[in-house]
Amino acid sequence: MSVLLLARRELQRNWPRFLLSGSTIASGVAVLVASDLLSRATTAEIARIEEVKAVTSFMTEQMNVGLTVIGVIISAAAGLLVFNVYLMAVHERAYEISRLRAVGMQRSQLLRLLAIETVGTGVAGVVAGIPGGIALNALLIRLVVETSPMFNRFAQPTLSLERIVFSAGIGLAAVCLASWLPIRRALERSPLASSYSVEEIPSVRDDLHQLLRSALIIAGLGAFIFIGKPSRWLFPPLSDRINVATIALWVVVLFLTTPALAGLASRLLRPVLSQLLGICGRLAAENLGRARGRVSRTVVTLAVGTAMIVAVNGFLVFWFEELFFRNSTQSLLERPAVGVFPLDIEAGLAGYEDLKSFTVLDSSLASIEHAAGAGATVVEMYFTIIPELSFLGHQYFSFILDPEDIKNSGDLYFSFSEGDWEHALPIMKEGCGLLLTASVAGKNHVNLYDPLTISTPRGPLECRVAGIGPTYVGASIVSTMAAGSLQLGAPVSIVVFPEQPDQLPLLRSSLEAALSGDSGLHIIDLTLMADMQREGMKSAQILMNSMLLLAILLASLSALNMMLISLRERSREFSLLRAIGATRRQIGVVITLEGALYGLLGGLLGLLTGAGVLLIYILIAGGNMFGFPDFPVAEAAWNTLEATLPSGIIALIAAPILTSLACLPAVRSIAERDSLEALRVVEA
Amino acid sequence: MIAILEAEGLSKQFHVGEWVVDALQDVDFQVEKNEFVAIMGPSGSGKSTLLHLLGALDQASAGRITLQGQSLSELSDDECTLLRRRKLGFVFQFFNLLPSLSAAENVALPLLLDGVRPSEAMERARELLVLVDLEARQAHRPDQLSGGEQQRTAIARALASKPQLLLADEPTGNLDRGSGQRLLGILRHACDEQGQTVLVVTHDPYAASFADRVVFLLDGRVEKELSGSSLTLKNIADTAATLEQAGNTENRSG
Repeated sequence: MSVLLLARRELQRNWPRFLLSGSTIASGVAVLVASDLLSRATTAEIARIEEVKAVTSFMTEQMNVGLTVIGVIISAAAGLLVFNVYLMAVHERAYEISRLRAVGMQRSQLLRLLAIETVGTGVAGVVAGIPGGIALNALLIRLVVETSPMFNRFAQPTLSLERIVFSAGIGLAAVCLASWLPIRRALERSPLASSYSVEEIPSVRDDLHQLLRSALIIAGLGAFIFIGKPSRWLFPPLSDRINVATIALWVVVLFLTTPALAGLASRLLRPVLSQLLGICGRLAAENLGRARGRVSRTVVTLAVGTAMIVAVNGFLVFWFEELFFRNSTQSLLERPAVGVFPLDIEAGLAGYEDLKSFTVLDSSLASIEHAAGAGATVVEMYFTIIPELSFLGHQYFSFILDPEDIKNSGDLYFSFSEGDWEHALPIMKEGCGLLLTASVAGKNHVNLYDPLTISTPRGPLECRVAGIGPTYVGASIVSTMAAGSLQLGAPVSIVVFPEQPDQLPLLRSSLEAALSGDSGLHIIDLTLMADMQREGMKSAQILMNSMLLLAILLASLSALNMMLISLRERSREFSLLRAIGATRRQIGVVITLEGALYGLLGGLLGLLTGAGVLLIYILIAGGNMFGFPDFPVAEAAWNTLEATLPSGIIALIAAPILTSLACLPAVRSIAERDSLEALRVVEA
Repeated sequence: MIAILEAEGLSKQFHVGEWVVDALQDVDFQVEKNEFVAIMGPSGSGKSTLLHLLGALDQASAGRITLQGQSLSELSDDECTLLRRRKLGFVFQFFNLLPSLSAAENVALPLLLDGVRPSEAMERARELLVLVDLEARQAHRPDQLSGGEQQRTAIARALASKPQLLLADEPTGNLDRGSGQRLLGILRHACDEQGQTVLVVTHDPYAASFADRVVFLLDGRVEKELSGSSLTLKNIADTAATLEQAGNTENRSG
């Protein structure tokens, strides 16, 4: 009972700290909830018909995975914040904890007290996060509908119980893990310990040693990537594992170097800020180099947001622009085509609303073939989902295509990096021939011409790898000769290539005339469709960035929370400054500038981390996942960085602005305090 | 003699919940230029409250304080800040140096806050550190200085802006006897050789014996003053003990 009472009093006394900690946990939970709702809303809108569901489930699955990863990272960032806040709170309450121990509080009682506070914060965060996620989903949908011509309609989703449990678990785990070390520190405090401690500041030599160690590791990484050129000799799945390990090493090294970086920044900024802003600038720069643990954790929390913005945007650009559409863009320029679909693709998600069937009937197919004429290539498109052939996860679709059609449509669907048509055609005509990307071949541990057994609705099917190379949007290709085992009905779309590129307008007119009575079918230029897919990528970017904006806001909340606690910890110092003649304005400038420096350092570290993650990924992976021959790695890396840089720079500018704004309540709280505290006797 | 600081009818009340505590009641008090005054009294007698009011750190509930003819109650918060910066120097019991600044930078701090050129401020800081015999320690940070050295640095800082009045709250309270004696010698020297006016709040009769005059407070009122020939260590200690006892008796009967 007494422990409960103490916990309640602490909650009343320090409610802003609990409120802000709870809010950050709530943000993480909200993102997890919203990501699930959003993918369910998309799936429900698209997948009104079973065939469509089968074909598009990969997309919603990938979106769900992507958004969930963001949610988990945001929750981890929230955990980092809670860790920082609790560590500072334990330091701040050191005297109180020692006195409680001195008057007879057992360690188990102290543990109970701190656990009640921790779990209380976590539960409050989870309870607020779930409706917060529903609201966030509504907000995101509104944003996407307003800005995207493709994602223009969503169904009303329902939240799954599994996701509620998952989100709550992640939120509570973040709080409990984050508070474990601070609580252990509190439990280890002696009843004789006092709150008065001398602050130790690491020397220049310590900082230089740390920087040197990190520089050596980074130089090693650089040598491996730039001299070793791993994209030339590392292939999936080994390259994926090396990539993850290298990226993890880069992030860990950078984050572990943050204390030394903060020290270095403090020393470098001292003369500059002293020159610009006098003693206020000097003091703010000094504060960046003090209490390294606190400063570093604040900076890292801010860096996580910026790094995610850079990395996620970069991945989208690299994947879509450099890998997914690399062959198709060039190929469609040389060999333009039109597609006939049983839905209005140009209408975006709204096109799925009145969809009755997702197949092209035989009668329509005959009309299309007739209108196309003898010189044109008419490709019947079939989709299937075969786990072994899935390019991403287990639900990515594969094409079922006629081998002659693939050959006649140029490089759009497939181009060889291993093998050739001379050998591939007989394999594909004979039975189940496969055209795979390098990563799918690697995933199944098969080489060119190797047999591969795939799972079909009618049981296992023996196939052979007829070729390895980049495919259209990474999807594997199965020859139509295997159609019998795959239970195919009518094709889901038809793509028609004119004999000569300049015949495209004529072909289109003929098709429009032939299908004028068939209201269910829609004709679209494939170039336009690729543009729309790019638009879709931009919408995905908007969606991801909206989520990531939360990470930055979360980091600002963290800056506010940490500043409030840190200022209370240093209240004697500020009171001293007031007593010896610092005006409220001068104190305000010091605190706001200190916050801005955290933001700037966090933004720069985030930009560096995110850009590094991207570079490492691109330079190791290259185009090997797709099997592009002579993939221009350096060019792709530069293009991606160039495209990502604007969002990184926006995040870099936003971070110090947001953190300075977050400092305003702290400035007000310190300004309202009298200058007497410095004169008060410290209980030592 | 010219009064540098005058307090008339000074009262200060604190509101603690429903209770009103009279920390100071109708205190009249003067400090002459170049005088070294010690304020003594039992705990809760109002010594620190008086120092805070005289140092423009707090506002009186009633009465008037004038520093060189300027009424403190008429000053705005910013004007009080500037007054503290330019005309007053403070020394606290717990040294209160900024941990990230060197000794010299701590001393130069009030000047830097006032916009003095850094080179000029650092030059003045070095002069003052020579005065307090810390020339060799000027580049050291507080955590590299002993308690006595930190307090001497704090005195140098208090003298940085050549204040008209130096206020010290239990400056020797956290020091050993030797360091305390050295510190009091510096304060005495500042008074005798540099024309500084010093006001010290202390519990220690030995520290008070360095003063020209000792003012004793009891229950927020001036109870007694010692100066001239009556200002001996024995007299100070006896008076302090008597007042301490009176305070205790009153507390028990109250």
